[in-house]
Amino acid sequence: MTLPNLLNHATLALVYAGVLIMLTIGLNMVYSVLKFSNFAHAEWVTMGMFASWWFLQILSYILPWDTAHLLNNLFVHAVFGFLIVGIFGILGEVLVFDRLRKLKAGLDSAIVASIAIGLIVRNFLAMVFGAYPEPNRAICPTCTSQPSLPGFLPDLNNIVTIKLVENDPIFGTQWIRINASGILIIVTSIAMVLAIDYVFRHTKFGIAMRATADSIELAQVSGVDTRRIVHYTWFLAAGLTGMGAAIYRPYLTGPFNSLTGLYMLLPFFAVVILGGVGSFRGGIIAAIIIAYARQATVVIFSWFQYPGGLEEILEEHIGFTITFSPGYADAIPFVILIIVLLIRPRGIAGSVEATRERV
Amino acid sequence: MKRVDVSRFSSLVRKHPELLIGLALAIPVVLLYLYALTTLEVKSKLLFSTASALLVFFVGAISLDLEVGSLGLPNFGKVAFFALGAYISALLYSVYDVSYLVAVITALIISSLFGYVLSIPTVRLRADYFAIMTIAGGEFIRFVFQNEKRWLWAPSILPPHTPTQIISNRAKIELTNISPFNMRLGDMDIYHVLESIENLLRIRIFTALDIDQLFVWEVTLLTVFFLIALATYWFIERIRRSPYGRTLRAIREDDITVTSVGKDVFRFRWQVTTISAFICGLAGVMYAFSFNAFEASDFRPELTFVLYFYVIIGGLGNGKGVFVGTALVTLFMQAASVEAVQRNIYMHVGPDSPLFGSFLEILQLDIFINPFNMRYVVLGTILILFLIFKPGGLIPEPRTDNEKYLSLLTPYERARSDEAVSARQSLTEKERLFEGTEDENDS
Amino acid sequence: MTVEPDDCDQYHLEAEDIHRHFGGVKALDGATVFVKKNKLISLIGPNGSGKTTLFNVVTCWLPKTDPFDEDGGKVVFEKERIDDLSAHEAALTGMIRTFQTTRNWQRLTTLENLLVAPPNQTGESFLNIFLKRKKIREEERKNTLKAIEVLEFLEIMHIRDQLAEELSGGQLKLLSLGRLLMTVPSLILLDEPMAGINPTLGNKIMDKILELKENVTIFLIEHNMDVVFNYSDEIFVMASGKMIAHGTPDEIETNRDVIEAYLGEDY
Repeated sequence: MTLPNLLNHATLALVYAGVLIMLTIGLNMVYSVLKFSNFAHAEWVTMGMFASWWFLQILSYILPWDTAHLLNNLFVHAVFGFLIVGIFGILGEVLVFDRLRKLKAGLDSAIVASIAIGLIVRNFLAMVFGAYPEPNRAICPTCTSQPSLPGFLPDLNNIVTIKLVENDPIFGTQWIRINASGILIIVTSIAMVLAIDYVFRHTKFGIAMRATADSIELAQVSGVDTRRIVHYTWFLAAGLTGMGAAIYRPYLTGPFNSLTGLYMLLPFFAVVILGGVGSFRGGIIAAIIIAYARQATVVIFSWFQYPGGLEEILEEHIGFTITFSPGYADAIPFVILIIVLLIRPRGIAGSVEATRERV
Repeated sequence: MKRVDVSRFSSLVRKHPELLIGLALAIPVVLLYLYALTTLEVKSKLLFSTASALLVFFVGAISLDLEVGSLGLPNFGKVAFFALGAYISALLYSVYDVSYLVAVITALIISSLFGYVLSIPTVRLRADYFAIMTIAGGEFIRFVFQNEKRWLWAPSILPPHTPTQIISNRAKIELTNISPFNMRLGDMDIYHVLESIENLLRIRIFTALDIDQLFVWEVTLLTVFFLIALATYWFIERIRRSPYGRTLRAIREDDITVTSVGKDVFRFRWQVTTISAFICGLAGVMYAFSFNAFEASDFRPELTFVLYFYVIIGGLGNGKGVFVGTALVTLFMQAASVEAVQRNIYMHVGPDSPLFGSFLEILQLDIFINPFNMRYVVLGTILILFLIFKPGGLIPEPRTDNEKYLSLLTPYERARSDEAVSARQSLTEKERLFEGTEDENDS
Repeated sequence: MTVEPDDCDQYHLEAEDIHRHFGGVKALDGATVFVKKNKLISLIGPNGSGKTTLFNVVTCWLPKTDPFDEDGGKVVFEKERIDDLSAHEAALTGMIRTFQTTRNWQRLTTLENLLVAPPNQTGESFLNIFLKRKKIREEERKNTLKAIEVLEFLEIMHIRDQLAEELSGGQLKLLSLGRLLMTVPSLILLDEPMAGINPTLGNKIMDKILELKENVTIFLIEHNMDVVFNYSDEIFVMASGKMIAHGTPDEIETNRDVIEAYLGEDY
């Protein structure tokens, strides 16, 4: 019995953790400042992907192909994603959440409203960009398959492979294989957390934000323009999510569609709740735990399904077994959420209690 | 000719401003629906699907309303119970050859059990954490149905009979094939009764709607659904009117005070979640009859969101509101699913369109407006408008009435209390000021 | 200073050596309270001295210590230990509390607010709704009568049909008092019943509370010193989680510790 390629799985999980870290910063910010969970967050991710992809199309159409690299590269697309999604974040606040807060509507109304916003945005994106951005709709045929143009940046599809063992009777094949895009995700996610953590802890703006998070009324009394802070929070939170999504997009191997973000909603919430609301460093640990738990489920469950695995053993000796499908990896966030909420409702380093207020 | 009394209508509107909003929504929806009907060759097909969807979703929505409207628990995992009810009843009957009654009862028990198990760790949570956990719970059930191929998949009909995710609902297929049920209503004797009613009324309504084209099984199914919906409505209204329902409303308003007078809030919460899971499972069993075959991926969270459209547009906390909301949204959805209507909505705005073509080419936009996505955009927008401008919905929860309690008293006891109430109300403003200042809000 | 009980039998509620920490903050640091039957006992102390926390612990809303700390003291009510009960179980023993901020059921009428309160109603069990309809009717009648009595007693019959959200702050205070009376308490714990209402109404509420004293023990947190010293049978004084004094109003008035706690040592 040879081992599966554990190192490769570990690398995949690491990149996935990076994606989770990058994309949950915004959710965590909104959660900690406004004390409500924004279910439309998934759509910001989708929107960020579409926005950066769209900008790529526009730039490729406008600019001459071979002189485009300075303007037409992933970072420019990411900035565009930041702006577009950030503006939509503010729009959501101004048009919906601000009004709901003024009405003193309960938490349930805000949740329903955010889900409705998600639904609107998702279907709107599907109409504008089609269910799939198919490569043949693009003006430059290589754009989607090769999101970064050669020249200015190293090619994001450049794959680094480090082979440690190959075809060993016990260890099988163990290699680390990661492409430039994956490395970029990991680096960006860490940089983003450090930057946001710094802003929250050490800048005047961050302190005002934390004061607002503690109590809107108190912050107002102490002269903080909470309305402005709330708007900036939404802009920054949505924008960072859009930027993260733009950086995540080249890593995807298949086409993405208007549901891509929605499929990641549960892992997002699992990260924020496990890490603790308001704690970005807790989010790093949580993202790593969830990513590795997920990948481990894939590895272990597919191992159970091999000939001679647990499934066969159970079948033979007990006569009853269930299917250990690697597809259950998607249920991991749910399991982790249940465990966290039962054992430690505040998460690893959070400030918001998950249970209802007492007294 | 009967004269339309305008002044009465305007006073009615003044009394119930939501009537105007209701009409503003209902008239276009009904017109759209009537237009959709006229484009069809066999109109009764649409009538049947509308009526069955309405009844199924009414049962589902009213179970959600018991949780959200009466108890204040925003459950976003209702789709799990739909899935359990539909899937397990169909699976047990079609694959495991259990009798249908046993299959349905098992499905309902499993559905309520899942509701109970899910409620234990979650009902103590804040509303948004509860929402996340229930969404996750709903998705969990879908993952199980998608992955458990050994037990929850059915052998495919075609050889080599490998297991597939698609479950064919044998109960429905059989129903549509058994002898009296597979006949058209027009061929049955009972249709003459309808014809004579038509002649009596001198309106050829049944003919116009092609009622004779309905199958007997369709009529039977609708009757059964109607009875189930009626029974559910009665059941839930009964709960609401009882002291139990009163305590539920108190918990919705403030659970801490309810605990402080010695009531186990947790017990009320898990009980309601379980009851609601049971009813929603029943809606799932009914839902299974909408399809000849279905699979796990039919049960996405969108199904839950649709239930929220019904209860929030209609009005939280009362069965009538939920019915109105369900009727409006279902009519809209059904009308929007008719091909002729869809054809009018389809629009392609791209570089080749005459108006903004070159502009769109620079922007690289190629927009396909289609009914499938459009209806969610429209409904989502209406939902948000309701949340902001009319949080009570079209038919808000009725103001609670003390009459129910006072009527229990003897006339003497009642008169004494009423006297005290009216005596105080008839005091002049000056006397009231003199008597005390407690009417001022000075907190 | 610790307070020693002189005769155990006459105590209605005993809370001995209660500890409660929030993180590193010691909200209660060995507080001890003995409440005599059918007396009005007041609890005073500067803000943040742990009065409300003591209420919360005694009525089992908060566990007495952190889960990590072993012995947090004991609470005995009517000669039975109640520390391990949950909040609603503690309320069922006949010890009912109010809250500092008025909490009411906004979209229920005043009458309904009172009708929800009686504990262990037949109609509150799910199956009974369908099985014991006659019994529920009788019980509802009985409770309605009682609610009307309470409304009469509190002189708020005129708001019988109003929703709680339409009432003024003072009326809400009276309503919470009424809700408490519907439960047949033997000990009521009032957390600042006169905070935020005008003095006229405050006196009215106090009169009502004094009328209750015949059958019920009253344990009161209050900042209004006139009320406390005029009406209390005994006064407990708290400061930073400890009881610093205990005695009749006259004794407390002259107690040096109390003056220090309230006004600082330099005074």
